[in-house]
Amino acid sequence: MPRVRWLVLIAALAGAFFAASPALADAAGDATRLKSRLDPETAARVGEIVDAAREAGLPTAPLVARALEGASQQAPSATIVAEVQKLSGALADARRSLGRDSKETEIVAGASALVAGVPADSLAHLRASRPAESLTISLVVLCDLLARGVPQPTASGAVLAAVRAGGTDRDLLRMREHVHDQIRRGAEPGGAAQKGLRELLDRRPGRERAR
Amino acid sequence: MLDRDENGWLEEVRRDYRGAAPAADDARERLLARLAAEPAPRRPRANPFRWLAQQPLSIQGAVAGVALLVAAASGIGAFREIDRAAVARHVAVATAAPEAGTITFALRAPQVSSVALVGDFNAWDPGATPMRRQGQGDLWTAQVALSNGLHSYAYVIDGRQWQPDPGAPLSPEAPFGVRSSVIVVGERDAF
Repeated sequence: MPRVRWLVLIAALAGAFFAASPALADAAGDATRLKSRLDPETAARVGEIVDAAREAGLPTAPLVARALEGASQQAPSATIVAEVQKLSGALADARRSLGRDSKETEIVAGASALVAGVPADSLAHLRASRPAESLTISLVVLCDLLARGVPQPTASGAVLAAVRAGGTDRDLLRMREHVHDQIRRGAEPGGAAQKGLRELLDRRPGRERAR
Repeated sequence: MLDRDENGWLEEVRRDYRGAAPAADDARERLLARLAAEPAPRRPRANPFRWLAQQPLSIQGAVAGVALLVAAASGIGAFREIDRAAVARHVAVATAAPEAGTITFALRAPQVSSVALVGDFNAWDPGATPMRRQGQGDLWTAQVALSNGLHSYAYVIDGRQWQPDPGAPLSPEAPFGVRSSVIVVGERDAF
């Protein structure tokens, strides 16, 4: 019996080691990347945020990338740490709003939207409208509309309406291009977004029959 | 032609063959036992060509014509798919790509001496991915292998001026003063 007990213990330890080794490798890789580009103090402070995010099950690659982006743009240490901290909080909020089973790309895009001022409720409404399909492209389009000057309520409303109408990712990307084109020609961003949404809704199947 | 005697002889032979063959008493049991030990025969596959071979030539011709049309149509569709994928992966401005692989980034930048591609895929290192000018024109390109996911990137002009990709979706944030662009790899529904 003692021998069996030892075998079970060794097997459990081996299982724990193999389960933890990818996380350990990730942590080591993140630390190396941070130390190679940041001063030791900044690297340590960013490393703490990254480790906490990893323990919470959040994606850490965007946090490391954010710090490296700051280093490449020669941002002050305090700015880099503050931006990484802000992104970490946004990732946690995005996962809460979109659901724990959300894909990493959805959480990252959702975090960008939250940082840009989109209310958490809007993300939850988007998820409720499309529970089983990816929201990544929808969120990327929402972020792009915001970046191009579309007011937040208009941008959130347009993307939500498009998703609720059954708009596909392809439809949403086409809407984005339409809005982009209109703004480039001098249209007011909010009006361009409303026009882009109307065009998307007009193209949905069954629209002709409904008229 | 067979005469009457020959017909009678043939009839006798047939009668012999129709009768039970002489065999040992336990032959039937041994034969059944061997059959039981044999693996079950495979169900023969349905052969549509056998049915077709039995049809008149006009039906065979019609079926062959329909088959040719279907093959041609599906072939054209496949080429369209390949063409679309090639455009997305190798020529188009980086907006989104259906699957992980080599993505071509392209930027028109007249009167500049260097352009570099920076992004989360190369640790935002301006020295990692210099872009190449195409001929004497103003088109700069770089190819990068990207994994599935959401990637942020920007261009660095002449080693100091950062700018996003004018044709790609933008990130709404500018945490360090310059917005980045976004490319989504692996969202197949977008294609």
